[in-house]
Amino acid sequence: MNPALKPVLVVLGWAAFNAVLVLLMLVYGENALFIGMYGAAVGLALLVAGAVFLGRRDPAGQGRRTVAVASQSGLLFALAAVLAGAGLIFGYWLTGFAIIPLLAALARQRKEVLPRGAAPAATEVSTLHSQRPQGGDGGPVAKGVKAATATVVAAKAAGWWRRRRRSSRT
Amino acid sequence: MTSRLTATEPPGPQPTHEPPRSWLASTDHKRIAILTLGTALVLLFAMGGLALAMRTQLAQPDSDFVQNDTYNQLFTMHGSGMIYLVITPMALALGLYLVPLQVGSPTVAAPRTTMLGYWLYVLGAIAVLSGFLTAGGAAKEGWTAYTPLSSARFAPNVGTDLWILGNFASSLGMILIAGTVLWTVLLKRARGMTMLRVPVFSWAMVATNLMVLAAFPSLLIALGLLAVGRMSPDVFSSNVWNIGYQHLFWFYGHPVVYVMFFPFVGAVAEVLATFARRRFFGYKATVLSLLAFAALSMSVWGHHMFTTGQVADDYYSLTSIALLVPAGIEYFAMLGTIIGARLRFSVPMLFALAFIPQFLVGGLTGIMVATPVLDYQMQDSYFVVAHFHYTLAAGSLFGFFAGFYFWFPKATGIMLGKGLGHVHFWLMVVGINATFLPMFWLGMEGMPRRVASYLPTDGFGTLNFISTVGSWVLGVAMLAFAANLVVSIVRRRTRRAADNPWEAHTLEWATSSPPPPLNFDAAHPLPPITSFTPLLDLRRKHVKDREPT
Repeated sequence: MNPALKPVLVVLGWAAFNAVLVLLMLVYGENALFIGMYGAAVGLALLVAGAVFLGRRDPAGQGRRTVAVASQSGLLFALAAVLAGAGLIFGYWLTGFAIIPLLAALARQRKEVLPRGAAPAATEVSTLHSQRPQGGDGGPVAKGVKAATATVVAAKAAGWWRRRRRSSRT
Repeated sequence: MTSRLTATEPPGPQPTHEPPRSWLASTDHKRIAILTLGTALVLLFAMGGLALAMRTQLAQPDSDFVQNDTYNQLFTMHGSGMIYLVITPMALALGLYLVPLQVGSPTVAAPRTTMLGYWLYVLGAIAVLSGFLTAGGAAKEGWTAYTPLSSARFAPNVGTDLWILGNFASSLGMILIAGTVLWTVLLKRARGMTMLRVPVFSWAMVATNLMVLAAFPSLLIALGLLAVGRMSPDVFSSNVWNIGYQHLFWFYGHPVVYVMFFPFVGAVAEVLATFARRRFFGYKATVLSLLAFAALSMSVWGHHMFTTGQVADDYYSLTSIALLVPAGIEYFAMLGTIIGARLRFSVPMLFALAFIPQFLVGGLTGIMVATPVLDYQMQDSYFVVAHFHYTLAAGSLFGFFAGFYFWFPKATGIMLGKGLGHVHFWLMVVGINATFLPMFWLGMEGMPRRVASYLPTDGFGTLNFISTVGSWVLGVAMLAFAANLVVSIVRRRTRRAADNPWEAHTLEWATSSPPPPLNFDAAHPLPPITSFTPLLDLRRKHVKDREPT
């Protein structure tokens, strides 16, 4: 029987090992600024652990959530973000343009979800059910490569056997 | 925890979008992953083309195939493109496709966030590449963009600004994708899928995504600092910011190597176990070693900075060498899986087997350059170039192709051709080793990296020529791969894949090829999950049931 390993323990354990490595850094006298940088990453891992802990404590919450069935808002949000960034290079006027996809994304986001309680339909696809491995010898190239490999291996084995015989005679 | 959505629920409302909208606005993790992988593959060919141009320039001394300035753009865009835009997205996309299937979840957590990650990646890639269209050309400061070289004073071109913007966006996208996949494996597993029944590949993705979440924000801060420095050049007149940038950069820059490695270790593990017809050897030790490896990899960044003289050499050397312990466990587990087994030498298995010794070369030379006394000698030489190409090209890329040939039938319902697969494999083995092995000697003889030319009297000509020939063989290998893809897709009616064509062990092989939108349906229900190899358990049970008592 498998012992239960909690997901939060995985993340916490990982963060803890990193914390040990941070502490070890102190012994070796690394600059405090950069020890702090590593410590901040451990802090991020702890935040992830906290989120996992809270997510696990509220499994019923999943039932209250709506299910997204489209994601145009993803493109629009990304476009807004990149336009805003490009504004730093080409002028702030471009940042203004980022507002358009941002507003469109916000408007779109609400329409991308199913009504509460509804689930997407299960869809079947055509499939071959055979579990037989795809055997066969492949094409002529594969056969040629296999034959060449077999010849080289055989030649090597013959050479090794001859050398062995010669050395056993001497 | 189990997921409430199951594929056998009664049908509800279903969006009826047609392609391409059904793909570009999808919430199906498989489609988002295929989009990401497809984009990364296109960019792989583009970045590989840049490498061929560089190798052609270096084939002979005093060559003028490209100008120095162009050469600088080529190695910058090749290096940064391969890392930020090709191998990292490939690695995470493989996880995005497989993790929900392997843990029995019908969806990825927060699919719209995942799609946002994909679009940030695509728009970021466009921004980076558009640098070539600007007057000053693309970025040319190397993939590390060290300051003050990358400051506005020495690199005033818009291409560098676009490079910063694009890499910021694409890396942010990768963080979002990693977060949703990690959430899926930790909190959306099917009933019966305990943490210690999660397949090795999905565990590799847990370790990978933890690293992404903890280390990638550091790159965002570094790129932000670079952008601030380009607006206010005085920032980089202070040493703390220059060395600080390097710390921030390498705090991302080393873990990303493992982000580009672990998913492929996971892929190789699955391939080896399947074609050895047995469970992966040393499952728990491997899981533990993956997590320890990921943690240790967060602590070694300073070994890239030994020659600055401003890091605690002993600490970084110690932690770098300690990486050998988890790496050794994983290697023993891989060898333990195949030793004594009745192996099947299919194309995925060939790539997986080649991965083992080739990555070993990259790993062991990595320990060499992580040793301060050797690093002071080899820093910025071709030895380092050879080392990291053995890890990323000879290692990760082989692991990727092992996984690609293995899971392509599952994702598309089409078997890839064996003949062209063999051609692809053997040309890659020859090409990779002919290209990168001579670079070790070039480095030992003192050839520095990032130089556009060398003199006939330097004595680098022969080895460079061999390396260039190797790179062209590699180019032909990639054409064979592309031809295989095209031919297989064109002949898809005669190459239909069964649901489990390789007799593999994990849950994704229990569903159809390709899987339905919610991964499992009434015709392909989740089998009982009794271990990390549920399908192998089922097969053994059937065999046992048939045996006469």
